[in-house]
Amino acid sequence: MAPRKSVNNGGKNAELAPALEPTINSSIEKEKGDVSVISTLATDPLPTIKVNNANLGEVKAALDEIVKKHLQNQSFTPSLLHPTVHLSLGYSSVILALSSVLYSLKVDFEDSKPILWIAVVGYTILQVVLWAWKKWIEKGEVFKGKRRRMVKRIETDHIQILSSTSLDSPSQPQLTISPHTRPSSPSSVPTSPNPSTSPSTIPNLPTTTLSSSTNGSETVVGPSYNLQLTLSITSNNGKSLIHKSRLIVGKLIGELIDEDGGIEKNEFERWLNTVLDDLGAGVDGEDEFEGNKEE
Amino acid sequence: MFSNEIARLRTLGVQGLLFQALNLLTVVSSGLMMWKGLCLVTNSESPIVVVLSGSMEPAFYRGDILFLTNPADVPYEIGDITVYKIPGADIPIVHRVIESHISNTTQLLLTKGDNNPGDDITLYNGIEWIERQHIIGKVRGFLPYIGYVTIAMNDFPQLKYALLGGVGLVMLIQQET
Repeated sequence: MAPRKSVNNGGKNAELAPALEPTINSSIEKEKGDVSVISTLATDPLPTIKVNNANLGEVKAALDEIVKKHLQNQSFTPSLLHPTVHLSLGYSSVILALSSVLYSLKVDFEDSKPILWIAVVGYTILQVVLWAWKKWIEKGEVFKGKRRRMVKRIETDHIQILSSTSLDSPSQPQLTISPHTRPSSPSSVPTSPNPSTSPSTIPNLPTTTLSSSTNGSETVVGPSYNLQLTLSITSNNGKSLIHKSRLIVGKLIGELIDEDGGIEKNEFERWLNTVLDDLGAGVDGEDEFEGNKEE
Repeated sequence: MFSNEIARLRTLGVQGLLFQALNLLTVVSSGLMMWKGLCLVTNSESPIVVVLSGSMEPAFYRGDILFLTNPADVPYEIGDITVYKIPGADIPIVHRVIESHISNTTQLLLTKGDNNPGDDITLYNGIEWIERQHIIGKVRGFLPYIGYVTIAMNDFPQLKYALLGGVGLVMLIQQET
């Protein structure tokens, strides 16, 4: 885990112009053979959100919130269908249960039995349906939304992001581009000469062996935050599919959270921008520069 | 003390708060539905009770938990240990059936505590027999000592509220996805 940033460093460098070429404020510690690197710009503000960095559930929840807000800042409008169905199923089962219990308090046991049967069976069915919904349709979804852009014609980006955490280090990023991608579209990601459906590894995506390039033998191990993003670009009212890609990528939690549990929001958002670029839903939709969108 | 958690709750927004509230309500509802489900399956309004007095010693002692069922249309027999509630009395009583008559409409029973010198006629508040409808269930099994937790919470209500409050607080603060 990287140490927290010192205040002095941040204050001094803020006087200089914010560098586009990041002056990596990194520190490499050696603890029993572990090597951890966190790279943050000296201009990044100190972390405001703090979580218990030993609790993967809390970490995931906090990072999910940042993902949602960041996507909305990238002009995606979130789809409310899944949360609405989830909440409706949940609240209807709860209201059924609680109202039946209140009714049974007022009436004799024998008289309340039919209502209680309906309530218990109904509650079980609704909860099972909700569980199935969460498992097979929501599948750990964090964000689902769309965005319209004007590039000679109106194109709509549909994005769906599933997130998960794992105790293992992130695996190599996998990008799958649908073979139906039309290379002539101005907004498509330049693909290799033979677009294929088999996963390809992208050399420019950050990998876990960052430190091994400087120090041949050691790889960084630790829990990771993984994202599975699916993008499809359509136009003409959804009738023509221009681009479809799926990216599975992960990042070590140690590269996003300092030892006090403070989340490096800007670092995370920069990583999200590179991920979106590689997916084909770039920061501005067409340009592929690695810039920071000012909040 | 909980500044981090409260700050996080504030950033949640309407949808986030609805999800958190749903989590809490689902836990409560699941518990209630499991209890009511047990009541329906055993056909008893209170299938788990705690022994409060020593009138059934040496079979049951104060603080034992009893498990009851109330099978419909099966008459109770002499020797069954039943839990019944006299209309007008708050507390159910657990005693053994010593006499039984089947009338046209219902079953009439007389009970007595094993450790009591006389039968329960003085507890019946005027009626001579207790009827099937007064019976909550008959004892099928028991667990010793566990009931003292319930006795403690009844004698010291602050304990009950403290426990409920603690559980509620933990649920609200811990963010579960």
